[in-house]
Amino acid sequence: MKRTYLGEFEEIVLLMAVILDEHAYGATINQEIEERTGRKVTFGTVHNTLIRLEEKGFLTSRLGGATTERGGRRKRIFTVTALGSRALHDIQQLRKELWELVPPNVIQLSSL
Amino acid sequence: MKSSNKNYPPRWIERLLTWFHPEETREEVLGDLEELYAYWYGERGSYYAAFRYIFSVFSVLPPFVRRRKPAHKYSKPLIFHPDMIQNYFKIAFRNLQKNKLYSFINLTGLTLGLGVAIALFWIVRFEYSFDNYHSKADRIYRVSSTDKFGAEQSHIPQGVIKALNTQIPGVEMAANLQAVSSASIKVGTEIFDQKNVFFSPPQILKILDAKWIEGSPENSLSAVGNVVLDEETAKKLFHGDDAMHKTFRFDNQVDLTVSGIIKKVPSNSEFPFQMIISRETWKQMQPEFQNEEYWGGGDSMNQGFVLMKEKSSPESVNRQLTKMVQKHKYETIISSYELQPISKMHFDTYKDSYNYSMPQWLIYTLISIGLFLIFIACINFVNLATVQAIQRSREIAMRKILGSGKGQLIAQFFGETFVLVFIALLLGSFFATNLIQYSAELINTKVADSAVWGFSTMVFLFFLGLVVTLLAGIYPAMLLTGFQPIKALQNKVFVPTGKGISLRSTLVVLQFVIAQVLIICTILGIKQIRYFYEKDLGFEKSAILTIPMPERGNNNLRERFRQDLSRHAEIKGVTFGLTTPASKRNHWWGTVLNPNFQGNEKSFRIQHVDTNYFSFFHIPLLAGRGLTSSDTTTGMKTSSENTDVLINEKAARDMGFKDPEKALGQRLEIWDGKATVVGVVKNYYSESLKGNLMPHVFLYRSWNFQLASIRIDPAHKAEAIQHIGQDWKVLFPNNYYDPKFLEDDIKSFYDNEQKLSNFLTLFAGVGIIIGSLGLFGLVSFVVTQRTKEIGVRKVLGATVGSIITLLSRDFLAMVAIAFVIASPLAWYVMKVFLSDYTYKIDIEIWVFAIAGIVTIGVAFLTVSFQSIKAALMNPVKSLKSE
Repeated sequence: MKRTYLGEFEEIVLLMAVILDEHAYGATINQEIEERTGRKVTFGTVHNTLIRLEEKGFLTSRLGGATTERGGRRKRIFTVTALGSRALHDIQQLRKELWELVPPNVIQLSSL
Repeated sequence: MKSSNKNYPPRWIERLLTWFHPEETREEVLGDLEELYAYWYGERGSYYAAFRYIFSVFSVLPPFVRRRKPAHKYSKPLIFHPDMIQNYFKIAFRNLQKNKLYSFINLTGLTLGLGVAIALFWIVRFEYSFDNYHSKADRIYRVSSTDKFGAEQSHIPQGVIKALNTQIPGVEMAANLQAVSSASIKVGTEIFDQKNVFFSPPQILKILDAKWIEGSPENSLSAVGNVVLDEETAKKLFHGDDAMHKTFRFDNQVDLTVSGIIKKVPSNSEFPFQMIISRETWKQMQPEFQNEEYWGGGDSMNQGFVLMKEKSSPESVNRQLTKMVQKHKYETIISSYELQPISKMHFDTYKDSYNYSMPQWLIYTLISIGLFLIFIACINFVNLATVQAIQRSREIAMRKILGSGKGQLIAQFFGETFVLVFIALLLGSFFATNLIQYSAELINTKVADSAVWGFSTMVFLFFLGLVVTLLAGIYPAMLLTGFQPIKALQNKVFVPTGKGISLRSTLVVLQFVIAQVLIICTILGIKQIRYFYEKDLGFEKSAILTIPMPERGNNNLRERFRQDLSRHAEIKGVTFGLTTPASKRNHWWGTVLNPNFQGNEKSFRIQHVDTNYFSFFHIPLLAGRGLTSSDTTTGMKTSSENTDVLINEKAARDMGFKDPEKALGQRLEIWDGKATVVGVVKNYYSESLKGNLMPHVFLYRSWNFQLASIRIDPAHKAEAIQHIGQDWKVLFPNNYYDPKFLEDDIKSFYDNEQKLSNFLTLFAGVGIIIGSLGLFGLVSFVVTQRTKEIGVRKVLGATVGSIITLLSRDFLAMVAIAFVIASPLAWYVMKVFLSDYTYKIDIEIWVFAIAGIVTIGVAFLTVSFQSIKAALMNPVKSLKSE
């Protein structure tokens, strides 16, 4: 199967954009990742990843309308594309298949 | 979202972001970071927030930040979209129409400049194409030689040719080619004057290419009486009948049978074969040419040509020939031989040419004048385009606002320039096609006979157009597209004027420097030629007709001719000689021995003269007696052998006698003959004044009176010429009557100079026209710009005079500066040019004054035309219009 490789961080950012839906833009994605994963991420990394995902065609973006918040500056809202959701599904599917191949007693979930 | 309006990130770091973050994502990133700052602030307070903020900012600065690619949905407008190109052309034509005056000036300047440049290109290409059409051109050489006095000689004796053919390896073939300048041809009862007559063995036409219509080198030129004609000559002699196997009488000496016909030789050939007679015939007519062993002397029209074998070097031939000639050093004055590639032959001006030679420096002069003219035409364009810039600035601002990129605008302006250059090229090539017809009046060239249009002309025009477009268009295009739209729309654009040395004034000065140098050179050149014409040559040259004498050595016929002529009242006198005192061709040289000369010998000009020669030409006798008809050689080859001869003053001086009387009785040895000096005549100039005075020796040799000189009554020229013609027909019915005026002959010495001065006059004229046109454009622009100022000044009481001064001063100052630069430049150029001449004019101040007055006068006329108009304008009108 030929598909675009999706890195781990890319996957998280992409997922987060899906989760945040209408509110997915640089600041919120950054915030949510920090809150959900508890790891500190650099804004530049998120910013660059978003641009890269867009270049790969997993995301599209549009500039939102001007608001009174944040000095009247517009937000760039990211929306997942069909290719993006397909890629996420593929990854999930693959994981699932792989998990089913894991012999039952090798990993004790409770021991983690 | 925990955003707080009170908590702002540090401004300085924000500014860093503004400066360095890519423009496309700046707004969103600034917004995101401000939101995040608020979030971090709420989470852990200001220090933490500031720290993370700074860290984040650096993470989105180059080189860490990823640049967003420009959005794809905007289609990028094509610079060369057909609609845009159409628009450019439309605007270009509208602009040309709108500014009729500027368009006219630009077009005229460019047309003149380009037209002349195209004509010069044709001339230069033609001259360089000489004899490149021969299929073996890279292996063909002319034999050139240098004598022991260091002068280049053209004649090649048969001994050299024989040695080349038999003893020297690497030579495929070598042969002599003899030319005679003119001959009388009698077909039936009709007599023609035939030029370009050659005597050639078959080899020459194997070395050189000719298109044979009938016959071949081997079959048509081997036997006595064979003659090959070119198509044109055949048609002329036989009125279009088939010329093959027909016969005619040549110079009343031999009958020739046409044995071959060739196509007309291309005009770019040093070998203008019109009539080629077999060398066997020549050997019969001139038995001395049967001797194939001699190495000394000869006719300069008897030259040698060599075809080398493939891959053999001419150097070894040069060495061997030079070595061989040492063995013959008592027989010849030649000290070395050299093979000259046929491609160089046309540019060798020391040789005696069958056609004509082109000096290399003249080619370079042509090229540089062409470049100068293109250059000053481009200067006009640049100047006018710059001053028009203000008018165009709003258009450009509008275009920029509507989304034109800089590249697009530059393309547009180049396009506009190209349209103009293209029109100028069209008009210019039309002008050049006409000009080239007169090229023979301008320089010594036969380019008018060749086809000038062709592939290389097209390529040249294309590149010329490209280069001129670039040269003329680049500065205006850069200047115009550099305008800031906002300033242009607010009318804040201005083109710097007046103060300091602007590019424009520099260019105007340059233009006038070039024009003035050309004018000064022209005036001095014309003066030098007039000096040549008017200088007293030491003999009387006016109202003298010359005719080449047939039946040489027939003393009875000659004396009858003299007597017949003397009967007419219009004829004042008749004399005979080898040549007139000054002649272009037929110079006989000989080495004269006398112990008083340095090195015991000296190269003399040998002149055979009639007894009344000196009185006829008003050349005074300084000492001794004149020649008589009894002064022929007596006691041939015995110890008492003697010929009485005259010498000139210069010869006496060379013997060391300041007093000519002392030279009387000196014994000379001339060509193995012994002679005594019995008289000395005053010096006269026997060559063009470009050369030096030469020592002369005069002998009475009635067998070699080649030319009759007849002094006629200048008031009855026509009758005299007619009388001579009638007498000629009676005595020489088989020879062509071709009288010439001696003065015309002497004038023709300076043909090159005369033509060069015509040429310079033309270019000085074109130069000053282009320059003045440019000046006119500039002034009219300044006047339009300052209309209001002039109005206000007039209202406040300025006089017409003061306004004219105000407008003209700057421009006249430029022309004056140009004059200051041009004068020393021209002085130097002419100094170099005149240094070639022995007899020359002084470079006088008034010439410079005239050039200055002329240019400043023309410039003043140009400027005042506009400035007076402006000064006389009603201020009410100029102030009312907005």
